[in-house]
Amino acid sequence: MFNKLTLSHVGYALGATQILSDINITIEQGQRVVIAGKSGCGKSTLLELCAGIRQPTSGVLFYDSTSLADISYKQLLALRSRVGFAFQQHALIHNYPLFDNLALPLRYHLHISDHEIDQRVCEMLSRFNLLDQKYKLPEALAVGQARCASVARALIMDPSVLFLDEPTSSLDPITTALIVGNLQAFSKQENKTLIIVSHNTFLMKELNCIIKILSNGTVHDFDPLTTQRDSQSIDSFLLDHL
Amino acid sequence: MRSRLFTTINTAGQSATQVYGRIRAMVELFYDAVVAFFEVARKGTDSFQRQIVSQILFTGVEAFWMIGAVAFVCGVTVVIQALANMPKFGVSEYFGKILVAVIVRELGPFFTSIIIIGRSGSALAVYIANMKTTREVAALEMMGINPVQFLVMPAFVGMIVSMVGLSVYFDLIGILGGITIASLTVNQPFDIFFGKVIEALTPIDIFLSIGKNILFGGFIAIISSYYGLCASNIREVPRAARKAVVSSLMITMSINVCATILYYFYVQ
Repeated sequence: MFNKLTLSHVGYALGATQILSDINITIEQGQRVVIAGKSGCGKSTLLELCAGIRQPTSGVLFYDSTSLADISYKQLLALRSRVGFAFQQHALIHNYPLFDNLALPLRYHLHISDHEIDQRVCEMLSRFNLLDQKYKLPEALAVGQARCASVARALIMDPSVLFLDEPTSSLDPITTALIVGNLQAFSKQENKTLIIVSHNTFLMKELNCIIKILSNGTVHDFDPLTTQRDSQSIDSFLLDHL
Repeated sequence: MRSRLFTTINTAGQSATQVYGRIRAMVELFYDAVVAFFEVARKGTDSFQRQIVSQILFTGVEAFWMIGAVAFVCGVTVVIQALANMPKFGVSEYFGKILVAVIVRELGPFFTSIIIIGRSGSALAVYIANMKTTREVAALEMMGINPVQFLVMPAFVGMIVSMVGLSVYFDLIGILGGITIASLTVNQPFDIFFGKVIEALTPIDIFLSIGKNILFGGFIAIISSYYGLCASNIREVPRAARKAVVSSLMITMSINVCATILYYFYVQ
């Protein structure tokens, strides 16, 4: 989708409240990045800016050398068919059963047979232990199941870039491990970019992520390739910067 | 005094700008919905057909009994009033014209639109507003699915199809109800009354009725979807429903009055 995502002096204000200011980040294709920070510091907003859900009120966001502001809505929609996004609140279509929620992007973007759609959806659901829930509506799912379903829906189109907003928050360790395992499998593929908002040190460690701490509008990097990668050092880094 | 006048003018100006902005956004939404319809018709995407069918089921089929009951009551009321106020002799001569004028041209489209606004327009506004506040609309966009194609266009098409169908059904039940009461009261055969109605019915009446229904259906869908999409938090969901109902009523009433005036000036 892109070789480089660049945020140049990006700011975002909601009315009179300045949520983000002067953010400069570069994310290369194939990187695994976790954005962490205190509650309310604008992590989710930053993720939504990166995905193009929100438009920055100042600064520019580039996909390679193309400014996101110069892309038409139609082009943006076409780009998004190669992007996966899992929201913090699962945002599953409430009147669609789980199966149809996952089948929706396949039906819309790919001209494949119903049998093939069925196969792909069932395979994805079984990876998240949700196969027996496939005819249930989102309201009938437990929180963890809904979160898994949301990640599964983000993965169903085999995207090049995956954006996840708190995929493991308030989940039990088994469900967390299930999600992290699937994300590991995704990130092992070539040129897959993973951008996650999370505080989960287990996830950061297992995915070998670059950690970007958002604090007072400044971004601090913690690169596991240049630093010792263990839960303790990640914890102390988080404590130092949060 | 001068500052009060300035404030009043300023407030009026701001309100006018807001109204202009809303109307412009609705016109854009209408245009997008029409373009989306042709795009989907060209591509033939399966998921939209399902959306359209479910909209027709909800708006058209599930309102069937309610429309039938209201139509029957309307037909009976019109005929009873007509019989009570018209000379008894030669009543069947006027009978067809009255039923066509009142039921087919006026009450059929208008009552159907009122029921659809209260039942389906408000539900559509709440449905979309809820999806907006729970980020489902954003999720659609993130899947590369245009919400206008997925939500607004099916509602637009479904509402128009349902409005036309329900209005024809309203006319039929209203006329049958009226004729039944008339034939029982005046003691004339059913088929004589029915023949008079068919005789009085002109292509212009049918065109006017269907034209009104297409406009009503389209406007109700666009207005309801627009207010649904404007909701940004949970508090705005009931407001979206209220605004959708009030605006749709105002617009349908205005269209109805304009169509009636045009009919009596240019056709009669």
